[in-house]
Amino acid sequence: MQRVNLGEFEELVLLIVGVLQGEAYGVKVLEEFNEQTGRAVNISAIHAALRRLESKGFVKSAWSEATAERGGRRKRLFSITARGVQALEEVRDLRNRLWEQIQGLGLNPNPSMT
Amino acid sequence: MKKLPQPPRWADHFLEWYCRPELLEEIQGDIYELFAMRAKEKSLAQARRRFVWDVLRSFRLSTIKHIKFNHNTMMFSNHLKIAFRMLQKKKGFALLNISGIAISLTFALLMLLWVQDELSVNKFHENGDRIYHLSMGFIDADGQIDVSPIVSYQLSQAAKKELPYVENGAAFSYNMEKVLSYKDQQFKVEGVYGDKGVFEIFNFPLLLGSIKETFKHTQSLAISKNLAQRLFGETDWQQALGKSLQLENGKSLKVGSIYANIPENSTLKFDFVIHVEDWLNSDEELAAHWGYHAFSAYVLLRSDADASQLQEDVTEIYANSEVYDEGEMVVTQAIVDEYLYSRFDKQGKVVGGRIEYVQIFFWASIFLLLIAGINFINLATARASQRAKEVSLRKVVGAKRGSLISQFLTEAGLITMISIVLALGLAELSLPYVRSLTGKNLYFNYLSAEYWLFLGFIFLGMTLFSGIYPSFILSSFKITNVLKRNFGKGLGSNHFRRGLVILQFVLSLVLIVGAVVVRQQIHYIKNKNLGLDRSNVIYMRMASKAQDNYKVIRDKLTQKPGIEAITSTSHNPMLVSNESNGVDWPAKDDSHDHIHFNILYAEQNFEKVFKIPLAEGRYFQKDMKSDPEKAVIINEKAAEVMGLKKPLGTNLQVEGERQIIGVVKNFHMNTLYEDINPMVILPEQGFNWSMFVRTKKGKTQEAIKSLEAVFEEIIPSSPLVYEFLDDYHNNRYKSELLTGTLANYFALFSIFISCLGLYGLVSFLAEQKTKEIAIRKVLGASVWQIITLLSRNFLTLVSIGLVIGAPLAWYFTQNWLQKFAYHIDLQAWMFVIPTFLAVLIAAFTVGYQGIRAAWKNPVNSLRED
Repeated sequence: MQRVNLGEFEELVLLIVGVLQGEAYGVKVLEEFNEQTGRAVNISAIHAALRRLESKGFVKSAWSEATAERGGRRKRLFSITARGVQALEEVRDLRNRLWEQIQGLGLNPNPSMT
Repeated sequence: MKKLPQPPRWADHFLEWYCRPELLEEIQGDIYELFAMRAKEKSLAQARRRFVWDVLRSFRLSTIKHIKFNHNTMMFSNHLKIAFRMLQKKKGFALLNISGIAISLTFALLMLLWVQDELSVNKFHENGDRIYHLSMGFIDADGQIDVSPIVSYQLSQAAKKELPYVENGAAFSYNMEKVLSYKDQQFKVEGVYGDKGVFEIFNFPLLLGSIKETFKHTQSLAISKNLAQRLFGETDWQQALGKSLQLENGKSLKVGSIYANIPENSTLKFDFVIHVEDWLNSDEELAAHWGYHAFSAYVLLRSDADASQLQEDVTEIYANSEVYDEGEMVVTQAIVDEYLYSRFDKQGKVVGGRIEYVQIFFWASIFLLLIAGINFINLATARASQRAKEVSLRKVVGAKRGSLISQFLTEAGLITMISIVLALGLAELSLPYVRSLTGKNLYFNYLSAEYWLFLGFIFLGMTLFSGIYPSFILSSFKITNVLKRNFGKGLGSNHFRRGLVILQFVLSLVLIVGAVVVRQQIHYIKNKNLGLDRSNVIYMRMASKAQDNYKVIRDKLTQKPGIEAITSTSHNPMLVSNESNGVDWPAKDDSHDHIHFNILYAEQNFEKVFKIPLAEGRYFQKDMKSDPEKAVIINEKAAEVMGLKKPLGTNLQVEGERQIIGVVKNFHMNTLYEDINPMVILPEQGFNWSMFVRTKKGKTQEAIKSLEAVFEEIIPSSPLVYEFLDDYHNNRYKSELLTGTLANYFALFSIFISCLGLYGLVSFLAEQKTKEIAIRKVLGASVWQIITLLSRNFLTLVSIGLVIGAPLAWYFTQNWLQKFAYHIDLQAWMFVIPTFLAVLIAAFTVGYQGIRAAWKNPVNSLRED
């Protein structure tokens, strides 16, 4: 089985890219991240994560048109790739498997708790 | 359209500078967008702060540009690596070079710091090159010009008014010590009477008050911030403005202005300026008489003026006055020059002064640096053969000559760099000592660009001087020769190296002989019999209160413990500035008109205090009532000038008709740079400005206690300020004493550094000849023969160096001594002993290496091949 190397932060960023559906670029991802997780991160962290995801082939990027508030610069729009989707699924499956086992344990009453 | 708010430019530039181009648009765009958003939602200031933070946070290994290693930087780092390895491998070589260069550099740094300070004196005046000082050139006993820096008030005013190209002028008195009181506090202060030109032409800026206010009438004065602080405390000095200060004579003066403290490097220093009119009013003669020389006078020329005209024009003004004597002149000198060029020849031309010491130390520093640089050259070229294989191999692999040269230069640069860092530390450590030695508050200005430029210059200069020759030699080896082990003979560097060793010892000898001669001359000055006994004499300048009560003080003091004798005079007999040509004697004719006599007024007991022996006759006596009116004493020189065979009983016209009652032996009434003048000693008549107390031997402390007690009793308000005549004498030759101390150091270190080099050379030679020595020993050579083999060459070189150096040293020292009217004669031993010493140290150095080489067991040396 091919191992998926995806850190917690990367996973969140990748999910958000998926959520944003083609509208994902640095600032947008940052805002969405803030909103969804309540965690404040620096834009540079988002950039770094996106760069790593792209180099792993989980996202791809394309340039948008220029906007004024960016000083006439284009946005780099990220979208999730098939491999990215696959990676997310693999991680989720792994988690689910693990969760099922924890839930199995949880049915056993713990004598010391009573 | 509204302009969008802008993020901090520098942060933006920084981002553009470090960021990889392919990432820039995205990162910059996002950060800009965040900035615009925050500027809208929060505040611009916060947005800008966050922008900077984002830029800094984005500085990551993954975002920064790849550092481009080009060929040059790579080669350089390789050279540096090799250079470090060489240092580690040849620790002794590195140690010799670094210590030599570091020590000489430390010296040079400190000396140049002092030199720079000397050169800065009086340079702070904005118009310094246009401000000229007027001095009188009088005719002395031998008919030659004698320059005195004091002129008459009339001359100072005439020069200002009559010359169209003179813009302004300043006239002020010599520094006077006054006791100023405010309420019940008293302060002893030095200051002058001056006109408003003092604040107009010099850079003595007023902090408070105005020139107009200060010079409106004679009831006001200007004081320095320093004095204001003494009066009103560190922080409240501004309160001094407008307050009234009392002079000793009861006159009260209002503070009209406060001026900034005068910088350390000013020759003019005073803590108050009282309106000159106040002084002029005290004595009609002072203002009106052309012969009343009592003022320092400066003129400011217009910027388009021809300064070379000034001397002639002012002399002409003076020549039209009633006091002019044939041949006299006015000497003019720019204020920026007067500190360093203070000595004039007998034609009134500048011949030198402190500038000589500045030059001596400057060149001595350069010499020392040269000696250290030569060490490096010598050692580096001597080791050339050792590195020949390395060089050849590099060449075979394809190194170009240029890259080899730069490699060796890198090594020189590394050694220089380490030495500079060491020297900076050493110099900083020894700075307190240098401060106390020179009496100057010297410090390195690490913030000034010049300082670093200078260090950069030293670095480049030293690196190139010591590195360029070895690197050319080393890189010039022919591969084929080296690989055939056929090098060394044709190196061509041998002659050059020999020349350098010779040069080194020439320089060393000049420094050592110089040191010995300076030492001797200073010893001579310090201990020269001045014709008067200056030990155990306390010297006090008397303020008017002390002067008024002098007789009471004297009579009280005489009975106190520790006191041997007391007298008062008009001048310190060691510096009689008072001159007159108003002395007539029977045989006087026109040819004697120009003769100026030093005139000293002296009281009874003069002889008991100064112990100036009589050639014949007697001194003034207390009980002889006729003395104050009728008697005069002259010195031997005066008798000679007047042509008196039997001076006793001759009548002179000087302050009335007087009979010569005694002739004193000549004593020095001036510095040893000057000749003894003819002198007339008159009985004291109210000009007793100076008081002298001879203490009993070994009872100085008691005498001072007695002094304090008597002064406290009789004039309690006046502070007691005294000085020992011995200290006075030593202070006077301060720069000579300083030169002496420094000359010793220079001599010591120059021979030390030279021998470091020699030591290095011989040890290298011994190493190179290990096998030869071993074989010779096997064949029966004695230790002595081997030492001779190793040292003969070097000792020859040292000897040649010394033979060349001796005449040079003679020339320089003789030149220096000529500047003293009284000086030692150069003697053979001053050359022989240093030479002998140099040879001895060199021989010892060489011999030590020789013995080490000769004692080696030949088996150890030979078994390797």
